[in-house]
Amino acid sequence: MMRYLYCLLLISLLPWYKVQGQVAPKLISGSYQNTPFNQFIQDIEKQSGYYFYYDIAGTDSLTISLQVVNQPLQIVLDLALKETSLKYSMDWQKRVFITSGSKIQVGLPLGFFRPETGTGQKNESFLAGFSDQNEKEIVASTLENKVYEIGIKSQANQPGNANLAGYVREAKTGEAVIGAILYIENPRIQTITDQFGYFSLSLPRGRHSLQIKSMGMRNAKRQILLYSNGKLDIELTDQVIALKEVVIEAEKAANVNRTQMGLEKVNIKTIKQVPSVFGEADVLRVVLTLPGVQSVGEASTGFNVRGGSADQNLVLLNDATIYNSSHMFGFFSAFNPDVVKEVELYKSSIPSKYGGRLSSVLDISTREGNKKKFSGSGGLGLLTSRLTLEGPILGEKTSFLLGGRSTYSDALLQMLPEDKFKNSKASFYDLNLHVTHKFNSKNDLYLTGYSSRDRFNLLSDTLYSYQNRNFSARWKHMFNDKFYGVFTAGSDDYGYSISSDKNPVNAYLLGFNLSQHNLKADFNYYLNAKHTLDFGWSSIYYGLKPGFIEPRGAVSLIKREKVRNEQALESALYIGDRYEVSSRLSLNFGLRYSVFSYLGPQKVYRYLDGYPKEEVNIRDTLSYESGTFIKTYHAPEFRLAARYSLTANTSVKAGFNTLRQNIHMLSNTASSSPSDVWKLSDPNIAPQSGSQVSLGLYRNFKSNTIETSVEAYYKNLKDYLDYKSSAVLIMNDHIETDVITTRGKAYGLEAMVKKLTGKMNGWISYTYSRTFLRMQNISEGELINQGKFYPANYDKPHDLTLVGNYRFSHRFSTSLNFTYSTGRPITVPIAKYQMGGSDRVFYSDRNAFRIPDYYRGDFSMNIEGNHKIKKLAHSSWTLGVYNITGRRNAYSTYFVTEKGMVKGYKLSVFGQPIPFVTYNFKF
Amino acid sequence: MKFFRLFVLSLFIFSACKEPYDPAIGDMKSNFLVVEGLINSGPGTTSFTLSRTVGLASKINSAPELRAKVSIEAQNGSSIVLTERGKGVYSASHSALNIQQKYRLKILTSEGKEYLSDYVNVQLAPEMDKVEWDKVNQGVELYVSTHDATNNTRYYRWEYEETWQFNPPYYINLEYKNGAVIDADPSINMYNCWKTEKSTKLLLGSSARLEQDVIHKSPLLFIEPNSEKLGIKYSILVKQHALSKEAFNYWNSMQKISEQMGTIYDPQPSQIRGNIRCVIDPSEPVVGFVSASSVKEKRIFISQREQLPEWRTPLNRCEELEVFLKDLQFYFSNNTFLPLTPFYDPTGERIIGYIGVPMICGDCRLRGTNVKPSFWE
Repeated sequence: MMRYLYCLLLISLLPWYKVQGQVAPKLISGSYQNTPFNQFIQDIEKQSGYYFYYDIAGTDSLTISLQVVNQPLQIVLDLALKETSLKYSMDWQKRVFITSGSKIQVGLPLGFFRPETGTGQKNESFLAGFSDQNEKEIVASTLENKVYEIGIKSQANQPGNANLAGYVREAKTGEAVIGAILYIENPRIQTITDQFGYFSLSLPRGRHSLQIKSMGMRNAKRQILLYSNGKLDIELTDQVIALKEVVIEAEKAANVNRTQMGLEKVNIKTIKQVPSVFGEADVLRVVLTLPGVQSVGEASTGFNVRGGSADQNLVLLNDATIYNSSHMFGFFSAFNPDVVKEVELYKSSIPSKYGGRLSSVLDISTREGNKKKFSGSGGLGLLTSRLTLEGPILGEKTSFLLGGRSTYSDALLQMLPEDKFKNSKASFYDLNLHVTHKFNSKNDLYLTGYSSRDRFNLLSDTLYSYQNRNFSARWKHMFNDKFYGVFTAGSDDYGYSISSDKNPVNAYLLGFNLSQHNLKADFNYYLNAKHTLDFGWSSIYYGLKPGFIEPRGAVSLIKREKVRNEQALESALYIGDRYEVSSRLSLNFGLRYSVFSYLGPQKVYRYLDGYPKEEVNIRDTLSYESGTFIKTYHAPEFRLAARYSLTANTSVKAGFNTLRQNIHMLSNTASSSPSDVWKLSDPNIAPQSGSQVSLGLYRNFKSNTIETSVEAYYKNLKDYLDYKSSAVLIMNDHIETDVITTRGKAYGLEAMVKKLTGKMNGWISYTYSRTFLRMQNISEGELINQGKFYPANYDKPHDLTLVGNYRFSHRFSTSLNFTYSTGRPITVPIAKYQMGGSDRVFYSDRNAFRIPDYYRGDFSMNIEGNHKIKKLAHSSWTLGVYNITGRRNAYSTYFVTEKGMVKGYKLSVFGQPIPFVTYNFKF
Repeated sequence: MKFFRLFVLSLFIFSACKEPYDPAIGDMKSNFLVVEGLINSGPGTTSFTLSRTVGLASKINSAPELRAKVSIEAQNGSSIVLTERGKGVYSASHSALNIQQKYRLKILTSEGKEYLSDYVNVQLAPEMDKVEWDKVNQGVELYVSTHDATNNTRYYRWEYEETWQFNPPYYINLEYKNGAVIDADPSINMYNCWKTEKSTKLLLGSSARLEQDVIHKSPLLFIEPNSEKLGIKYSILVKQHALSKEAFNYWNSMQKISEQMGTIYDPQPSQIRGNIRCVIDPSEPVVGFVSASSVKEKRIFISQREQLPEWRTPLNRCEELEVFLKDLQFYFSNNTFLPLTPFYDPTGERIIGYIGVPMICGDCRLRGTNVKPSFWE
């Protein structure tokens, strides 16, 4: 654009050209150290009084290092541009034209005014100093085929590689693009942008064609001429904006090429396509469609990854730990779809920077606010509505994103004719705030706040409520192009309360609260083309209020009681190396050393050796002062992964992982419920530990448009907690007497075929997985199932999911989702007897039977408004039907005594087709 | 608006539904001993019922355990032998037990296996303060309140026996006898009866979380609107006994897994261990928990006329049948129908038959007893 501008300028001034006498030039002084080019120019503009014309885009990666004292402008420019390919020329109007390659002729050649000389056009090109051939290139020039010169030209012949670093951002909003792949073809060198969109690549000096690919973005290419270490920021265009022909190529070959295995990535666009129960795009429900991810049932909070329990998943929202990721009995997930950008699920090779949970890491990143203009989006549904606002604050350096969601179902429940629902309540809200600030090219600050609250009582007088509150501040500092650090401080809080006012004498409020404060430093060091190191340290201080009960109202006789607070400190050091051994083989090594200390003040029971941990066997009680390290558990964790490329589109990968977990969720309900408590490891409850080996084969077809993968895994779990019959978990200060430790094993095979491009896209995944637990320690009490392996609650051997989307036009698309899985194990009665005037049932072996198989189909349509760019608001409708066949899938089966008789029932949560409609808007 | 309501109705929890379910697990053989009862600290009767578990699909509810030898043993060696009363019931009346002693139950089955419970302390139950009722949602909810000034009891269990007076829909003063319908014997009461039912739910209370050992209005049962129970006069006898903490946990678990299932957050069902063991094979499951406690009783009455004048009991519709004289024997002889009133030929002079009503609509003895209970006021 700029070039056109000054070409035009040149033309316009032609007739006015006349020779003027040279004025004595002003002298320039200054000291510049890696000063960006535009800043340098601004400075000399001020000093010299000259006005500069230059291509901003062409010089944005250029920095100037120079020291001059009282030098004329020409000398300064000669010095400054010496090591670049830039040329300059000055004219009599005190204008300086800086161009790349050829110098602009500011004077007319002799004989210009002779009538026989050709057209102005020709002169123009002549004037501009380009050949005709070059002119075409200018016209066609886009960022894609422009050659970016990076670094200092004079260093071009130095030996070794040079480093190229920078950010990949979205062109429209300036937001970081996470997980974009940057690579050159020959030799094959690649890297992936991190959570800030930052990348660093070590490349041979010289000319390269750098390919940039990212899901949901148009593929891009940059021609670079790398002289020495330098920077290049890249802006990618969103796929959807382009209304001309769009070639969708999603993260081409990434699944084959990255060393990471068992990593599933889903961006919000995919999430929004999948039909969900009340029409609201749901992060967790889409995660459930991925291979290896299961849930106990439709109304269950939490999910199970590769045979792990729900509490073995670390759910992170911009580095903040979310302890309860569901709203309203799990019908909604805690994440506002307008705020979420991308979801990554690590289920096998968990990077060494993560720790503290055994099964998986679900890393949810939110978008950054639009840095360029104020905008908003939202939606209205039958049960919820949401609104998100974003925009720059004080210029482009700071942006905010504020999103909120709320239900109005309380009001709906009140409207129902049936009396029994009159007092029912179910409502939630959540709020997200995300602020990013760029101090300068080396320092960025990211602030994230999250708050959510749920309240419900259904057909009972007991009111449940729970809330998450999270805050994190991240400061990213670039030490140099190859080395940066992220310093995070955060605080996470989760708590619930249960209250009942029905009986005034027994009116109570029971509460639980868990808060953690964490500090961590993560460093990334791009050592060279072969090694990328990441290392760091993290510390979490846990403070737990395991339970407190207090009276409500004046007449309540409830005794104020409190289970002693628990506190612990968990710290870890880690280091990881991504080692590209050759173009075919790459290795990830990771080592994490975690230290967990249970801290005083505390009273700890000691039990008689060799006797079951029961109240009667308490030997004595030890009291500890505040700050005492009562018990410390520490151990190394290993994270290894390897990839070997068989061909350009086929690879095999293997991984080995060990993990530890020091905080346990205690739940003796079949699916985790909002009244489950968390417990820290203590002298009586050891940390859980697990190891996993996995092996996978990946192959892409049809120029990477179809991705296939098969992964197999075997997992061992140690000290996983299960519960005694009639365990009391709430308000219990000796939980060790109610739990048992089990050993577990899980194994499985996951296969997936994915097509993310074209009118027809989607994926099919099949999972075979088994999970067994076993109680071996007779000293903990009666053995479950005689000490034999029994299937875990979420052991569902077969699981098949199909997600299919078909885009008829840019404004109309449909989506079909189909799920089949084996019914989960249940414990069924084998006999009955008479007791207390009723028939009652006798349960035998745990989880020996299964509920009927589950299958469900959903359908949705997205209808977009027209795509005129100038419109007040863009809107779309989503409508569809959840459970289109209306199958009454069993959520649970149970046996109750009614009027003295035993009756078996099957409970289904969504026993009929559920239509939904949502109106979405964007402005 | 109505449509919208219906739509929302169809949407939410209302789409949740429960259906009868039969897991079709073959009939597994199970034959575990079930022990129900309480060591009554007396003076009074201690009664235990022994039975065996039966397969889930079995037609019978339970199989009584016969010819066992049952006794209560004190830690000091003294014992009380319970006598078999049939149907698996073993009981004995005895004077007050020594509350300083611990007691256990000993069973020797006919097949020679010995079962022993743990020794248990004798719990002392306080008197109940009140058995009361409220009108709730057109029905009647009954509650029990109690307290222990010494704060020692803490865990309670209740059982009750309801008795109510009722009338059948028809007053019958005819009777079929020897091929003819005659005036009924006025001394036989078929119209005024009493029915008694025992509690079928486990009723438990705990004041463990309270400052004082007070149970305030713990619900006993809910009488549905328009129930016959409150049609004339109703009475409930509530029995209270105290539990140890372990016993309370046992019954509480049984209550959860047998009466409170079917929520979204069900507990993991499993068999709970009581305090009775087979001596030679301690791992053999035995159902039941033996406690020793004093038993306190309280009875209240609710009279419809005086206390619930607005209570209405809808008349049950009964089939009315025209029985011609030639069919009298067919309908009236085998106790399926009762003659209500004669009907006549068109002249209105000659009886050509009788209106018959099902026996259950005229003879209350089929559903209760016509013997006025001794406690009836």
